[in-house]
Amino acid sequence: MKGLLYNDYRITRKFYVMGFLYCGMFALVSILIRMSMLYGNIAHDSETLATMQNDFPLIRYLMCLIFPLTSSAEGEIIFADKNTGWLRFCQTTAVTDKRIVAEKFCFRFITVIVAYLIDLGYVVILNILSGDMMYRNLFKNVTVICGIVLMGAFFDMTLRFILKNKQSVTLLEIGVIGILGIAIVPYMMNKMKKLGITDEATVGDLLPIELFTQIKPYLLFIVFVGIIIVAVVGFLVSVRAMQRREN
Amino acid sequence: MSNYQNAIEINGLTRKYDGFTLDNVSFSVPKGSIMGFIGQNGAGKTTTIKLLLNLITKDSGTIKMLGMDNSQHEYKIKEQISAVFDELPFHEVLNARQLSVVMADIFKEWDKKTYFDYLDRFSLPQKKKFREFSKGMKMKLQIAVALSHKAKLLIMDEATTGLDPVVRNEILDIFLEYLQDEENSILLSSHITTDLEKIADNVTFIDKGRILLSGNKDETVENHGVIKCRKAEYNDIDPDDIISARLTDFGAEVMINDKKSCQRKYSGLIIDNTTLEEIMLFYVHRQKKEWT
Repeated sequence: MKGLLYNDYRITRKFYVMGFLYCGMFALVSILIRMSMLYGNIAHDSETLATMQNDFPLIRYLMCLIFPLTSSAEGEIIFADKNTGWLRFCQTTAVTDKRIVAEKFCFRFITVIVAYLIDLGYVVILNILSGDMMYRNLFKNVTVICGIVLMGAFFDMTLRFILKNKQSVTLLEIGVIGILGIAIVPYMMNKMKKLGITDEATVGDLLPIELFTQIKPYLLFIVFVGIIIVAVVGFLVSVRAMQRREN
Repeated sequence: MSNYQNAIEINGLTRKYDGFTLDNVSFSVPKGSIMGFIGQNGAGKTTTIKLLLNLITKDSGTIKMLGMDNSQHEYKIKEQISAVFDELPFHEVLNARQLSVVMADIFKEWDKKTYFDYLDRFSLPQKKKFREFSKGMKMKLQIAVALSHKAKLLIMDEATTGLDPVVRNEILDIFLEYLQDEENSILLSSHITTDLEKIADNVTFIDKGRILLSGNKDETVENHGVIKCRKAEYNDIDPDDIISARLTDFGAEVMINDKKSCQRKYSGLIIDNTTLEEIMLFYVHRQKKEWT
């Protein structure tokens, strides 16, 4: 499988370099802002400081989303594979459909794991700078966000194997995100209103309290099981789509 | 030494589409030979090749490749064959050196040395991205890949179309060299009949999804002929002997498929030798019988 992984790496490398650059810029700016809040001029403006202190815990988790978003090129190359004839070429060789799909899922998994490690490192640095030693919470939040990103990535790839054009994938994804948004936004608004200015807004704080209280101890487990289910179902559906020969 | 006689054996192959049917196609490619697969665009060549490679499903019929059923032993067969299409199937951001790493994973028998030897021979740069390659270079690259994993059968779909004569000749020479090993065979689909005339041992002619002719190329060309005659003489020719006739202001050109018998039967007429291109042309008009 390493040759196929290498093929995808060479094709998407440019996008990952861009992803790293965006992340590096974001990390640098946010670290500078944090340092400025703690030691610089911003600290002298008490009103701004209060607002930024409250917003900052959320901002630091944004990094978790940036890398996978900027490096979503792997999804794009499934269509590129179809258009260049690469998938057809593979099907004229002894490479099985399962192997083709497994390689794509594997590559996406690796990229999200790399992003996860980078995100984790970044958040740890921010915490050290802030003097915040709540690493357990930190690890959990980053893991949950990256887990959700991974599920989204597998879902996206499955759609790309099933559907024939990018527009259909985009429309379907907007639909799913829209439904999730409609379900979550009222709770988030309500919660934000109730919270007012809080010391820390975590992923859990953005969910309805009752629901979150019930699922909080199992959040990591739920995400882990979710990843497995989406990966297995996505893999099987994608292989089926690949095996569905031209009509 | 393999124990099959035909590299490809197709029997009763049928595949129906809306508006097109590949109808009961049967032919075989003897081991160690080049089969020219000719026909107009849309005649069914690519459909047949896709069925050979299991890229589409057949409605009925059997396909044996390298002595094995192509459905039951799909991956075993594909390990030993190479397919070359008219377009480069590799991503254009790669270069030839990087492609070798990828191919080593795809083909168990990948021979890096042979591949790089072919690159040198074709004067293909190793570090230049494929997007900067010309059409001829892309085709040579595909052929270098196809010949670098000890494939016993090459399936080429319009591989020489759109190439200049120099590159085409170079590629045809490589095919002849490849056939020095009698275990190797080639199915070469093309509508450029001059290429096939140069190198093919056998030809199969397909039109509107049906096989019209299949056999030894030299015999096929020898058995056919063109009678050039006046219209009055044309009217005396038995319609059963005529494939089709091109009528001109000055007379008629009549394609016949049994030259020896016609020479005896129409001793007063001159029967010219013909070419694969002419055979293809006259067979395409066989239903109208007369055309201009």
